[in-house]
Amino acid sequence: MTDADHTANLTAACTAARLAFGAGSVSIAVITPGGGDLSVDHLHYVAAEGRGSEGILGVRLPAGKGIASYVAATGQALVVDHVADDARFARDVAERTGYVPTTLLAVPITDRNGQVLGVLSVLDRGNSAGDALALGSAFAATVAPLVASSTADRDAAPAELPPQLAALEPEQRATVLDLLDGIIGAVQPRRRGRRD
Amino acid sequence: MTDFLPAWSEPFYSEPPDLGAPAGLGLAIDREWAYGDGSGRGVRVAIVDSGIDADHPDVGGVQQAVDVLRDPEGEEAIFVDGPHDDLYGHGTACAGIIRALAPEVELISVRVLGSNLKGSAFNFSYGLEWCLDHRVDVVNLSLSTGNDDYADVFWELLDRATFEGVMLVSALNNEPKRSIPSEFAGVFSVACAPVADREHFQFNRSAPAEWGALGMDVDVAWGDGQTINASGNSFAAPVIAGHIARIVGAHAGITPWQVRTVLAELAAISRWHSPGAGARLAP
Repeated sequence: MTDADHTANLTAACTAARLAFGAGSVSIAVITPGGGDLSVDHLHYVAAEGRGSEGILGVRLPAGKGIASYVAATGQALVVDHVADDARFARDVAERTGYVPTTLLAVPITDRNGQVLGVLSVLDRGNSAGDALALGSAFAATVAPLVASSTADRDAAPAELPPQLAALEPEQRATVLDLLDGIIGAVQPRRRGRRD
Repeated sequence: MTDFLPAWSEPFYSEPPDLGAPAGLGLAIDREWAYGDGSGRGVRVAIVDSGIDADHPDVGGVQQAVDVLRDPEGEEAIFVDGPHDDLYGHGTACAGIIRALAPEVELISVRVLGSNLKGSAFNFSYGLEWCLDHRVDVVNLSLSTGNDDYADVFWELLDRATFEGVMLVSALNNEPKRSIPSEFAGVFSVACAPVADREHFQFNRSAPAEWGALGMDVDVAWGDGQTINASGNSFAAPVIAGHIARIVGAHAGITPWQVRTVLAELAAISRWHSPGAGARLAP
């Protein structure tokens, strides 16, 4: 699957979520390792749909900044009913998008091991917080394989893979790499080292 | 006012509460005996979290701090001693709650949630191991992982803590999904309960939420000297950690099993707030 395909699929998921929530906007941000200008890990907004979506697309939010970053770090979903009053909110980022929401629901997107891959953010939902949390978790679970395969594609440079793997289609390669991960995890005790 | 309820808090909020047999055995344990002077003097309490803002007025200083990092080139944990900040405010919130309940504890910040957003289960496990290696009495874990690969690592650490008499207090995830190590029997697992204030808490016979404490719509310390209103099991766990610090301060050498008995007796004499106030059952 190409990057454009991934973006289209994730954007479609944002649209579905926005309609289901009756929300102003929905976005998906993916955890990206630090490097280059950003020495710390950051959240990269790769898909968005609704109000302010053009402004948030492509934004890279460093660790420690914003509610989504908090959710990525802690792995805990968060419902905030008065965003303006919340110290975690990155108001400057929201203002640059031209859309400052009143409420925000942010849910971690995790892989099947519980590893946080990214964050689904729902701005100004139309339903109650209790309903929204369950719905948000369901949407996060739905998009998780898409996000996982996009990050797997990004992390796996075909030139560095054995020729048999490099020859596979990205989706096939992701499946084989997943299987290999499972096999390696089963036969090799995880190394745990420490340095004071 | 928040209208959602964190996962595993339901038994405390149902009407009537669904907590199994009554707490306590009717032992002659009261608050005065359990807590002594209630200061927690000399008790070493670690907060494994996002760091602590030592200058926040609710925190009242941090006596020791270590940053747990992962070597990006390998599989090693790196421990950096010395002051650090709190990128997220979450650890500062926990510290403020514990300090208010047991003002003379030694607070130790073990930062495992920092600038690295991936691989937090790795940092988390090493942060907990650091606590066991450094004579900590009570550890607050207002975080959990869903990473099954780490289940055996945490089981080992929990067994070691229990055998060495270290009290691990762990918040359950706010969502009903895998929550390691809070769903394991070796920790004092905590969810939210509609109790009157932080002086009171509840005991639940039904796993995995063993203890219920105030965590909904609470004012907590945050970064940059701020205070925010927040909800979640994360803010209930430090309440139990604070009570345990008091008990350990009054009864040096007490074991985790003995502390459970004392807590259950105290829960039996705790007061309920209006059930359902401030939250409703999730659908």
